Amino acid sequence: MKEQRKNRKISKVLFLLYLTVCLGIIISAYFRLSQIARDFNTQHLELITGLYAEKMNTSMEYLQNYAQENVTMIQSMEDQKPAEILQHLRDNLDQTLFCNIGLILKNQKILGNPCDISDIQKKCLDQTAKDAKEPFFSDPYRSTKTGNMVLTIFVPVSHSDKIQTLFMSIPIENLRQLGVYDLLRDKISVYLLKADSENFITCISTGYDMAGNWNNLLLQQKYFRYTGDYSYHQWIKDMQAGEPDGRFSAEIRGEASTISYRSITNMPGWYVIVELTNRNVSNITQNFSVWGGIYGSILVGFTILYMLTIVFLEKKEKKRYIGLSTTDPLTGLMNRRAFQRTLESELRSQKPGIFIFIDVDNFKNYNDRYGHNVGDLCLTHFARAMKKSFPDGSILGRYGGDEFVVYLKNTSSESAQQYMLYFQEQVAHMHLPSGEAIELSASAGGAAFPKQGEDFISLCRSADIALYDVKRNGKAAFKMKGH
Amino acid sequence: MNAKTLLNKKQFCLLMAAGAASALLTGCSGSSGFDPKASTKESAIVDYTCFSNPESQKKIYVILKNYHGDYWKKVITGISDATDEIDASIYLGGIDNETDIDGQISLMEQAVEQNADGILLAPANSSSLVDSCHTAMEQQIPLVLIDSSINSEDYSRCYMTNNVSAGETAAQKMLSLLQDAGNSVTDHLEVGIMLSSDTSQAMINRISGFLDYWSNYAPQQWNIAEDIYLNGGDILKAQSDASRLLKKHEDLKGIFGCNNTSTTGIVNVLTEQERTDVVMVGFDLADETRQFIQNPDFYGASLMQKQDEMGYQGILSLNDLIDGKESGQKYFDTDIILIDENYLMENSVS
Repeated sequence: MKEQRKNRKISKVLFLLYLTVCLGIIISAYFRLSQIARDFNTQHLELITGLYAEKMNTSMEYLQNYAQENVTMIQSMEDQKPAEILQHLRDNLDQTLFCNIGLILKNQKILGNPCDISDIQKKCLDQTAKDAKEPFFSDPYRSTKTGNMVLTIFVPVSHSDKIQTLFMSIPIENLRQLGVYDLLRDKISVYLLKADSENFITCISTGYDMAGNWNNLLLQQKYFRYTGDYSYHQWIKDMQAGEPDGRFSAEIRGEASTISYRSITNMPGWYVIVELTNRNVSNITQNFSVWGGIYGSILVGFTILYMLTIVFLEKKEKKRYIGLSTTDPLTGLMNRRAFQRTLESELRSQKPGIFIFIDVDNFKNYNDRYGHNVGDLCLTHFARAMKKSFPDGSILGRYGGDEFVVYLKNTSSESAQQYMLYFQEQVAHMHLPSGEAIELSASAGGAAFPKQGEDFISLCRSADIALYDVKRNGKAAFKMKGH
Repeated sequence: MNAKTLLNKKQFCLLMAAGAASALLTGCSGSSGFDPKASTKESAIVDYTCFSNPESQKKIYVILKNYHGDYWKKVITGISDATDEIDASIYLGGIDNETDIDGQISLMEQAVEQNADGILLAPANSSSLVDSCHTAMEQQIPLVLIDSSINSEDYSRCYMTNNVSAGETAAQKMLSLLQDAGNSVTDHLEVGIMLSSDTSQAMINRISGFLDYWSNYAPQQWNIAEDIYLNGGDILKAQSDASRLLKKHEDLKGIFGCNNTSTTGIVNVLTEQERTDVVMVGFDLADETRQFIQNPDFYGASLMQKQDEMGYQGILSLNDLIDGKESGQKYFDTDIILIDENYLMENSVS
């Protein structure tokens, strides 16, 4: 028994160990795969940001080169009047990209469309251009001529007696279009940010219709939750200090995101910002780790199911063996040993009850007269009557031969009498397979626990005395000891 | 639709005033006073009403995005003034609730179907009205926008405030008032920003302009407080935000209110707490704001849009376009008025 308990404990420990190891493997696999996914995302995000910055740099370079070529053209046409030069430039303007062109003369007169001139003067850009030695971009402003937001590039014209600066405007929408990749639409957001004011243009946005707007980063900070040591201050400080690039994680509008920024070398003070919602681009890799976890869990689940089935079948088999060793095969009642063990266990609870010995009257005669088969039928008939007559929870057994035993829990002598009367009625008539009806009866003797016997042996003895008394007085009755 | 009602201008203005008054009394929550059926937020169309020169052959349709408050009353006054100078019948319609984009689209469709000669539109949304504007322009109907623009080039002209520039002016005034209030460029101080919505392009642009100017011209020690609160157009919320800003930032010496509710909220709190050390620059001129600016103990200024100009110039411009007169200019900044103590004294605004 001790050995059995020990084995059972070992089995449990081994099973728990197995489960723990499986769980550990699944969790570590999930985290490892997630880490691989994150690294993969990071590499791709850096690649995307790099490509965008490169694209913007190339575009800005193209704008500057285009303007520079015009400057060269101006220098080569020095002998002509500025108005003629401007007309020539206008005729050759790439109108798919630029919306206007003009000249600021050394005498501070501006040649160009009256609306453009008014815009430039209103924003004092002509004054800034006067002192500028290098090309520079204006901030975005709304063009009175077109109604669109534009950005204007000013390029000083060297070696010219009449012309000081060339200016050309590009609509923000065209600039925005330079940053649009249809393949990445709804996956990432791309912004062009001016570091000093933190104002930005939205090139691509996911979920929010802000495309082309001139917005401000500070205004968006309520939607940011920075992770780790990084902060808004740090980010701005880095960009204003001219940091060429950087990357950090943050929760934006409740979504875990990664932000990557890179300076646009041809547009000093401006950055390309790429915002990636981890959920979006990382779908494949995240799915990879999630499905890895799911398949692992299914595998472990099936293994556990298999093991449980084995354990269940083993238990069932064991129960069958135990049943065979405790049950009387003819009547289905407990055999003597099982009855004794069960009763002894019940008696330990010290609750009162009635122990009864039951004998089939004249069993030998039936056997002799009708044969053993009918004898067996008598015994099963008795067993059925016992199951029917005594209350649930009663302990029923076949003691041996034609002797049966029953223990009625929490029952008084009077109640026992009632049960036995009913039992006598149930056993009284039995029909043989041939159709013949035979009369049967039982003699029974009872003993009360604990008054008339405190253990199995003494109860048997007391009940046997009462049974003997019944048999001696004509059978077919029940009597408690001492009555 | 289309119950075009012919009213004379006086009757129309009376109805407009009644509508605005009822809206104010009901907390601007629904009814326009024109059409009882249009009192729900779901259906807030105010049908076209002709209020000038019904016999004229030239038909101009005006589609507003709101009828409530002084702002839109002034727009209507501008429109009304312009009708005296032109020979055109003006049909005025609109939506009673600025979120009813579908209502405005429906009014645009009706104007096109009824062969409008010109349309004056105050778009409720910069993206959703793009297709309707495209259709009108395709039909060669001159289209003039007022108050705000759309995300497309499909319009003839636009009259609105340059909000970026207005924001720059606000920042400039804030810097000057902070200095007037005795703050030194070496002092460490903070300036707060309050607005009602961060999806309004007008307010976003005011902030962009403000911060751009600030980054270029503010002393290094003068910083912007990072917590920007949104009050959703609720004055009580604006007051609580202003109190929170003052409590949280000990060095707060200025607050910029990007719209009327924010400005009124700031003014109420500064007055109540007698915070004469805190400078206020805002938008619009509620009574409280005017009194604050006039009070010599406080430093304050406010910017006012010329919305009557939008309505007035918009109609005249539309009339020119219908007559085939082009100007080569598409966007017109209707400018702002900077209201400070001097302005109020000089103009005796009471």
